[in-house]
Amino acid sequence: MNNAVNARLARLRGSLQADEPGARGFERVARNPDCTRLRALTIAGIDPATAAVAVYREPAREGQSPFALAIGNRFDRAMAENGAAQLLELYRSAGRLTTAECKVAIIPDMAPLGSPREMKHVMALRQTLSQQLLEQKLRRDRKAPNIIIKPRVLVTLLGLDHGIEPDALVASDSDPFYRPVEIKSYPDRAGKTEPADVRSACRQAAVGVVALRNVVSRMGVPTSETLIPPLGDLVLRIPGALKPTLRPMTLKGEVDSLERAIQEAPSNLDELEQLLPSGAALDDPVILESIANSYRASCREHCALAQHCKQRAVANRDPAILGDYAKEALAAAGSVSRALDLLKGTGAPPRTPAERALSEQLRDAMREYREAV
Amino acid sequence: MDTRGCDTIDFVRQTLETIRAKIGEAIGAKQEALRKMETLLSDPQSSAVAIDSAQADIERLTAAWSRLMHELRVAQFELPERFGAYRTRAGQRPMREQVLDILDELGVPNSPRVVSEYALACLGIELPAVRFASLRRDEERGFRKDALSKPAWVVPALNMTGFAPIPRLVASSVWPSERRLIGPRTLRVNHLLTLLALLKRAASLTDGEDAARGITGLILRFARSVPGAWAVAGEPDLGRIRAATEAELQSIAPEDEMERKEAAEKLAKFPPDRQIWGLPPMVKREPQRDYRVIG
Repeated sequence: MNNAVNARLARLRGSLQADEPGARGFERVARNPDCTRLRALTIAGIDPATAAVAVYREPAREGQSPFALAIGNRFDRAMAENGAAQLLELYRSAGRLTTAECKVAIIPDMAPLGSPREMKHVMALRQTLSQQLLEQKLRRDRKAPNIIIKPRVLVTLLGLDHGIEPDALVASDSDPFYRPVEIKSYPDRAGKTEPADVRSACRQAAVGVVALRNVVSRMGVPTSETLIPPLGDLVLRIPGALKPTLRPMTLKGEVDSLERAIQEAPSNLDELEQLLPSGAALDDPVILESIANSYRASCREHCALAQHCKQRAVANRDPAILGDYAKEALAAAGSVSRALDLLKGTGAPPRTPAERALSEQLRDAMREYREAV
Repeated sequence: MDTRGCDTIDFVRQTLETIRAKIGEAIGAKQEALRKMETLLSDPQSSAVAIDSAQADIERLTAAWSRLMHELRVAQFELPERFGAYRTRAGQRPMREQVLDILDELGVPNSPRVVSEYALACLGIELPAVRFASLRRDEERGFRKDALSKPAWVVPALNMTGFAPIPRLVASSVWPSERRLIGPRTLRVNHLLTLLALLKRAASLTDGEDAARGITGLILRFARSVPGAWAVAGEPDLGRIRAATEAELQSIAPEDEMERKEAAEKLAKFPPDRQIWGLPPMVKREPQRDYRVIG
């Protein structure tokens, strides 16, 4: 990424500091592809939590509790420590790696974070080391690691190059390439594992698949989709212990939805700049508010702006506050009050054929309800 | 199989046993010399030359005994129990020396966290892992200033590819370079060698000692990932853990050792300071964003 692009991004961010979106950021976009505001923030490199606090002056209500974060960090560390001994054991027990397939590379150990001043250098070093290892695997070099912890790969998403750090990559010696691994400290309760947690982890693993495909394409591999199928591994936690469980997952739906979401407009910096008035920056609450959002009940699972968007939805009587089904069904009315008018026959008569159809639908539904109750 | 592992403490213990045996022999010899002198003095026929000779023997044996007692005191001073005593008198033994001793016991490059846990479990001393980064910087500064001012330095392990330092793995500068190199299999090999060093240490401790309890906890954690180390039921068996560890080591260590030796030959062509501290990592200059990393 050249300095001109960096300068344009900095101008868009205004006074806000840049945040690396990472896999979680792109997963967020894939979860709500209709939200232009979230997409704009992601392209500009602003975390929704930063926007909530620094732009709207609201508390960032997002994500995990400090307790869950501490457990997550401990679990991640436990997976990487002692030469990723626990991960090796996990894959050996699952029959995915043999005893001899014990080659491990831990990228953060090779290039640990130092002072903030060294950040760029460390990131570049991690990227170089990761690239060398991926090239090694592509060459079918026997020294290529079977497990790489926290590789850093450069991927072009939303028109810009981003560094993504999957939790791990794994491949046996006979595998043609690596498969992304998403390590989560969620307790693995088999069929009773929180579905939203599993979905979120799968989407993040899907970002890993897209990133790896991007990397091997840059290396000149024409069949990246064959080389890297939409598969990923979730490493979850045995409830009450820091021991891992392995859940291989098919990620076809997640990869497809991610690729679709990324292609939606604004899909790059040029389109975002065209969307905004000349010289506008996203640190201005009026400008940010002018960008269309798309509130959904599930936003609170992943976006720090969910509370802000919900308050606006309530104030605007947006059908989204009644849930995703109501949002879709009442779209023609545009608001809950207009939908009530159409139901009761109060206010202005239906202005469009869609409103007329909705009005009839609502009255039929009310009649059926009264007959039934 | 790789036979790395310089057991300083075992060596000190063996030395102590040898010195005690020699002192026992010296006491016996001196008692014999004193009895001879007593006999000579009680015999009016004894010549002055014989008495002088017996006196010289007694003096020689006394000097030898005195020297052995001095050696015993020095050897006792190096016992780990002494390290424990220093905890209450901070500053007497520098952290770097304690780290080097522990590294010698473990025998392979290890993470500060493992060194720190080992120090606490076995020796009862606190070596905070967070202090290792500054220790390593101090060591490098000291080495650059005067490489011969210390017999050994705490240094980073080196990546076998490119010989870049791996700051989160510490080693001793006196080790041969192949022991300081990290190849693709070395992390696993070193994990197993560390486990064997812990088992060896545990064997020298008495059941019920604090150190024995601490080290057993470490052993069980390290052994968790070793196939066949755990019986289906019952208490963990250290003999079984050792056998399983050695079995895995046999299957992966020879190739790892060969790779490291080949790399060590290449490393030997670099200047001595590069052999110790490694080469600066080669970074492919791709422009980076001014991001801060979240999470």
